[in-house]
Amino acid sequence: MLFNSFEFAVFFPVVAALYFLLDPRWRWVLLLIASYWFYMAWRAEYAVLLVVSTIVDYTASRGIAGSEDPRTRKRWLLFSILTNLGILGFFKYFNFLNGTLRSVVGAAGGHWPVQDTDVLLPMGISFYTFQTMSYTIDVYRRVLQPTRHLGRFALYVTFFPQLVAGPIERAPNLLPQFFRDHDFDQARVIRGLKQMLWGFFKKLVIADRLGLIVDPIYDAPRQHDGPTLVLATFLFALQIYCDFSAYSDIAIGAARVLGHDLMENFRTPYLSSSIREFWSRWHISLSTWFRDYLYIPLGGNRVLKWRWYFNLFVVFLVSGLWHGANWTFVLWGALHGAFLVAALIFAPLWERFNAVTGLARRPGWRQAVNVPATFVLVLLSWVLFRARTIDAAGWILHEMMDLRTGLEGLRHTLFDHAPVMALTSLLFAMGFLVFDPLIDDLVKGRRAAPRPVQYVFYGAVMAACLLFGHFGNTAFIYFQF
Amino acid sequence: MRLLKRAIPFLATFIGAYLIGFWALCHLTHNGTPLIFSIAPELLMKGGDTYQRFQEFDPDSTYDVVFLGSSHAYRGYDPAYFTRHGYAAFNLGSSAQSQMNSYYLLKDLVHPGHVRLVVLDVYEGAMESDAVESTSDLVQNIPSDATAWRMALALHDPRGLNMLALRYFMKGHAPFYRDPTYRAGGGALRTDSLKVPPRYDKGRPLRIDPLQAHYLQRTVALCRERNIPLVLSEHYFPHASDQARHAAYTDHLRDLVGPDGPVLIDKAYDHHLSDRDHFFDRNHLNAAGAELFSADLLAELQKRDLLPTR
Repeated sequence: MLFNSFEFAVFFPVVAALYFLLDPRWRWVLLLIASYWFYMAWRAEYAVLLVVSTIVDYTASRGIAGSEDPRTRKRWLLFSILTNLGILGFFKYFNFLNGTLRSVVGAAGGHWPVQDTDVLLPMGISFYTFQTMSYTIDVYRRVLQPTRHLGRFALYVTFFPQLVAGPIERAPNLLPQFFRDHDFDQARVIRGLKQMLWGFFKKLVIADRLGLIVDPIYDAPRQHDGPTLVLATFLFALQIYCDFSAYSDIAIGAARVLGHDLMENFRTPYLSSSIREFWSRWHISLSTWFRDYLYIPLGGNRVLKWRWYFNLFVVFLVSGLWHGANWTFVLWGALHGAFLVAALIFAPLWERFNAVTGLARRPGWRQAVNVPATFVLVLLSWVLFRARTIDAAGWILHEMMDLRTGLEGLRHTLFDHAPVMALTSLLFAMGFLVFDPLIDDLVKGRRAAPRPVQYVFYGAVMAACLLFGHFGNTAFIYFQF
Repeated sequence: MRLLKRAIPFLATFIGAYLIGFWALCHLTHNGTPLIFSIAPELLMKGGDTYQRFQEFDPDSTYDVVFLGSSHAYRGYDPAYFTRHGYAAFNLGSSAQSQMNSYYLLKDLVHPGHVRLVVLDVYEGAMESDAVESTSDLVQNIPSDATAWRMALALHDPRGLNMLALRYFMKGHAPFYRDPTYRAGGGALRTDSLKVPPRYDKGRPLRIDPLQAHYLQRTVALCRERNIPLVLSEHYFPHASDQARHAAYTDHLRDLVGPDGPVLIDKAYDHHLSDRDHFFDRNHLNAAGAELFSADLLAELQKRDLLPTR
């Protein structure tokens, strides 16, 4: 079920109303049924994978906690990790690996006999497998006592607001909340609804409208010139941010209405002054997952310098692969890894540059240089993320460097067919870019505004959703991961 | 209760902002066209053959046969041919009309005792439609407010609300355009024909919209309940189009209406017309094709005793 569908508009109020009417002892049952319903509205048969993931990790965590023998504990951990990664690998990476092997063998003049499978990628598989794995690893590390309650654990795996595209929750934060009573709290419900509304605005009015400009350009990049591709990439940067952060806002808001707190997933990432800071503000739940369950086990930064760089690079390479079974994503991850390693290698040089130019003494000026520079690097990397093939990405990057063609192509693409539509989309996007930090604080409760101002603001946001929203059940971009 | 108290000013602000915004977008223009049509492309202008058709149609008159369906219906079923042969006929087809739209038109405008036979064109494209285009067209152009509301709400889509708002904001507005191909009795026939045979994308999977399937079943039940004979019909298709897909579709259709369902007259490939001379595009009959098809259909209806011989 999509958040931006009629079904969800009926489903959520009904679940929320029943939730608060029900005896607190049975609320988890309602949420579990609702979560399975939510998932099965897409493809009922794929719910089996949720059941398997739940049973495997419940059993493995009980096995780990029930033994003091390190070998037994490790066996249970391996059982969980191999099962989860096995499911993920088969459904998400089999065809990618098979296709790669076929190309390699074909290039060597051989014949690769294995056919691709035609199974559909289960929605949210990358998210819930990582969430369940983190639970078992935390139990193995003795950070967490495993729960005996299979039902509530199943709810931790499937909790519908964040099941399909995160935030990837951690058991110490989310699981205990399923054991608490949540009384109806008006202030909390209103805050949740406000965050949901802002999420819908970002998805319907900004992301999906920008998609109408970006998609045709990226679907046929060779028909466009450099300036058009630069604009399309810039707009894609806004589109993906609004799309993904919209999902997180709706998920966090919906959970909050039901009395649960999910972790923050985005913190105005395009205001970052380094790639490192960008990753502490973008898809925070995934970055921290990789930090805790891959980077630190690899040794983190408490190793030799070259190994530290290697660890960083590997983490981002894997993160790229997590996003999608395509070499474009692997390269995207590698590029971010390379940016981070380069930033570490050249840090002394950069410090000296700051000292010589006087930027070191003027943090405001340094920020004014670093924020746009970081944004440009992120922008370049989005080309790899959005392009269909590496060839196309290479061509786009090459054309983006060539701005001699003038603005005629850009004018034609934007304003010859649907000028009003293009202009309103650009106005909303620019307005969003300017006001996002302020509104983000307001929506997340970090900044207060007088009540009448809030009525006008949220009333206008809702009216804008209806008037300017692009409807038609467009899926969220991160659903494909 | 406190939540409700806070919801009221919020809802008032929302409704106020929405109405002011809508009013502004209806009154500000670009190249003479209200901005609302550029901002929300799913909103269609009042006017065209649908407007002309529903202005002409009188639900209180008596008709021997009424046609319903998408553009296949109003382009391919020529009511004038039936009239020339002594039958009072009217074509209530409209652009991309889905089964949901046909159902509500039938329910609200086709009164029992006033119509002897309903012929519903069941072109597969209309069964695959999400009904947004057709509802938008009908909500702007049909005279009945109640029917417009029913269709807009049946869409289960916020765009339905925008369609209704536009209907009321444009209430006193004259139609934006007229369709020169429109003819009395609801038909809209084109005289041009294909110069180059089109290429067909064959093997495209069928994607019947469950909502449309549901409304087709409701239409069948409604006709049965009102004792109005219903015929499902498919007009001629170019021979070069995807015949296998069509066969799969008609099988699905038969399953959907069941063995006791209405008669299905499938003329899609049962003809000797030329793909180039009798069609004006990939699957719409031109006036010459519509004349031949209407003759064939009338003969078939007479043969099956669905219309008396005159």
